[in-house]
Amino acid sequence: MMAYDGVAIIGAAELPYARKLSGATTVDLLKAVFLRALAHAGIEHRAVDGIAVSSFTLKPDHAIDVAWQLGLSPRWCMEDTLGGASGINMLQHAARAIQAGDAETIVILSADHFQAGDFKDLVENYNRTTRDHLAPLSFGGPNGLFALVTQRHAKAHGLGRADYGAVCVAQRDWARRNPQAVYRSELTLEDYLAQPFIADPLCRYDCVPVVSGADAIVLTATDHAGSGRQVGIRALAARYNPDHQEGTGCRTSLADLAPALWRDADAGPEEMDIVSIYDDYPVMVLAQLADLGFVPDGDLSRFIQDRLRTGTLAVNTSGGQLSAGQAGAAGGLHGLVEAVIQLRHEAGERQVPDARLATVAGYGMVEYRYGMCANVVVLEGSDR
Amino acid sequence: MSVTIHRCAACGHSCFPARQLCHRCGGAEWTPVTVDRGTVEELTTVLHQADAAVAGTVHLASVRTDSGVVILARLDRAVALGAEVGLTLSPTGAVHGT
Repeated sequence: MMAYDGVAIIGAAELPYARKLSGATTVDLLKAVFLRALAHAGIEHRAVDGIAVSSFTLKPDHAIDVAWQLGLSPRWCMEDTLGGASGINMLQHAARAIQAGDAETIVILSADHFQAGDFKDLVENYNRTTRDHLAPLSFGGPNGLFALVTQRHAKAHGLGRADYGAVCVAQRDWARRNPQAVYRSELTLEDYLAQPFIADPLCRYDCVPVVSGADAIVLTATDHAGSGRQVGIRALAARYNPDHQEGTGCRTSLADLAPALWRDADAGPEEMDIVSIYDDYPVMVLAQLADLGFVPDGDLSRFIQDRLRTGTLAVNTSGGQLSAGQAGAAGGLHGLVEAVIQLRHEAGERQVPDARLATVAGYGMVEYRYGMCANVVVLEGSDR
Repeated sequence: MSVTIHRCAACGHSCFPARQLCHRCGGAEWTPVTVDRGTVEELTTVLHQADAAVAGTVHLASVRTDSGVVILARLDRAVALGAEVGLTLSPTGAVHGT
């Protein structure tokens, strides 16, 4: 892989997530997060010459309409549709565009505003396969599919409900220190185990709360970055459709990507201060962590107790989507924004001391049985 | 109606749902093959559905056919894992296992 030298992430922003949000549209959220990201990066509106946008609720608009709404005249424009893998996909393309000189400063935006009926429409018309083969089964979205994935995973690794529950509890412990999280009250394993099933073995705490919200990051050529803390890309890798939906769903493409990723990053999982893993369901947190090499002995149950519950491995320090909320396509940027905030040492009460290296993984886009997409980036924070 | 899976005319690999090109060999010709039964590998009971007007219960199963293809099916009732079920296709496109 050609290195990602010469590109810096200089700003990140997230609007507070909200379960019910009235009086705003998706474009309103994009505007608000765009302004917040510019302010965070300390740059002017006129400095932006590239824009990338991801959203499920933007129609009939597209990325270029957002550029128009925001008064931009970009020389680089991208629209992304990879859902939970959208943030890293946009980062990959934007960083290469800056390296190539096609743009100098790019703002990556994502937002979703769900109104009554929007979520049902999204899950029934996610793609042609969903519309033609899943929606007729009337089981109401991805919970049923990931219940089946979780059953396969539990059987393969000898895990029980308490193990997956412990992942949710560990993330809630982080969320209690994140004033923007939707769920902030203490969650005990007893509370988790007392919940009725939504889709056996999943209960409500295994399923992300759907919210409206927006996220953004700002990239620029290192030559133009100002002073202060900035974040660079050590390595980035992606692969989609690794098994064409013919596997178990418990192994993502990250397993294939990990050896070259760590080699390119010149670092290993044991050196990571911050880890953001796309967490639509706790089973996928465990699958991605194992695929990336964070569980060298393969003992997931002990890993959960020794590393996640103790917080010694800082995974999803915002509380993740399981506690902070799942804002549609904005969820694809959520983990990146949190990692950037941590690497800039701006995470307040939940700040991991001296955080320097972070891994962020994206996952998503269910075709028929589970997600098709996974990608990953290793980031480094430094003073300048 | 019966359930139809799709066998690549070039390499014999079967898939469901239908695709344009075979991921094994790139072949573009498919032969329809009828399947009428399979084995339940996982089963979940979905109690709460997204935005459901009326809360309902759906038995959703992962069913493996003899060809190795896994089909998602809605069962009339919970069955034991490993049970064999007959598969039919409703006019709406839903695969039912009974």
